[in-house]
Amino acid sequence: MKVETHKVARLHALLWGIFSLGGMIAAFLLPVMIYMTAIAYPFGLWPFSSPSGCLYCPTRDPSFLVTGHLLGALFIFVTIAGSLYHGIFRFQTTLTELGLLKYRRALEAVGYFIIFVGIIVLGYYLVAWYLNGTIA
Amino acid sequence: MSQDVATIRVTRYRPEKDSKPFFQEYKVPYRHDMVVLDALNYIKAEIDGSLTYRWSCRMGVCGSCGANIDGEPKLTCASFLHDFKGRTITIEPMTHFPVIKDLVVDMEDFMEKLVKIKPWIIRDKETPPEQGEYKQSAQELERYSQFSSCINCMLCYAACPIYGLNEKFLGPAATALAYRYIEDSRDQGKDVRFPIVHEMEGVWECTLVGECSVVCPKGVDPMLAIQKTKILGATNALKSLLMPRGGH
Repeated sequence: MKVETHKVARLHALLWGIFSLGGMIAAFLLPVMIYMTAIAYPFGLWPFSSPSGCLYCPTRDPSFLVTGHLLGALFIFVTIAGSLYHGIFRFQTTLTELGLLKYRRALEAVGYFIIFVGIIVLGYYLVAWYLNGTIA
Repeated sequence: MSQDVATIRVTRYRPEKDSKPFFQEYKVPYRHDMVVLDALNYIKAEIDGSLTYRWSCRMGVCGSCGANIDGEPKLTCASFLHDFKGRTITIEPMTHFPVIKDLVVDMEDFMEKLVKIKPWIIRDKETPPEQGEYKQSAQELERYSQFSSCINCMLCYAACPIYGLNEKFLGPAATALAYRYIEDSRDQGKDVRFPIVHEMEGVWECTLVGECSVVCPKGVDPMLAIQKTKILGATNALKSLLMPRGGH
């Protein structure tokens, strides 16, 4: 009798879980971040304390989200890293749909490299920002 | 009663004679209540007896008369001729399957996948019939009810671009059926089916195109079954990572 063997794709299942979470983050948190950094604060629609102590002063400096607020740094990291990971995972499936199975592994490797470097750089700058109050 | 005339263009392919498939056109008189399958039956009976196609029940139950009608996978018994009034109706074999003759495709791959997911209730220990039935509440039935409506017509496979690219992909109907048993409160075969559906070429190849659910003639949503099976896979993988001795 033929014995059935099946290799469960556990790692892929975990990565899919992160992809799903990233999708939820991209759908719910990314618009919030875009609104806060690109609309609300620059146009003075949200109260904040500027370095001069002025409330409701328009600013183009998004560091207000990070300096002095660990939750702000976490919010940016989770939102950007989650969205980036969701993007690369979706890119994989797009490669499949385009019929590029032959080149999928190579293109995936390039994509993952770019995304992970991006996430590490993001983490580095957020930590520096949080600790020093400036990127430099 | 006056009759309209439909122009039917059918794929013909006789592997022993033809180097490649070609189209043949027929004129078929029809009444308002006639379907594409009736037109094929008319052609076979009155015009060309060599036309080959599958059919059985003529009422959308057996799932054997699937074909691509004007490029869309449909049951020929459920497609009315009057819906195509004024244009030529093109009938081709379902895509992604090897053609045996004319509209008849080779179902072997699908049948293997169907058996692979073990579409029957698995019990750790069967109890004798005298001890009564395995009871189930209406809520428990609701969890899998829609997935049990699959008639194995394979239209979802013809619509799935991923199956077209990778024939090892378990595919929509087989996964929907596997999920139907996974969700059945009477079934105890999760440990047997999970390794099959959670292989790389089980559910993970699906890219959520969703055409399988669009073309299903019975209202089954295989895409939902695949997504739910993926959630179970991700949850199990996380459990086995956090609890290596206790999880799946």
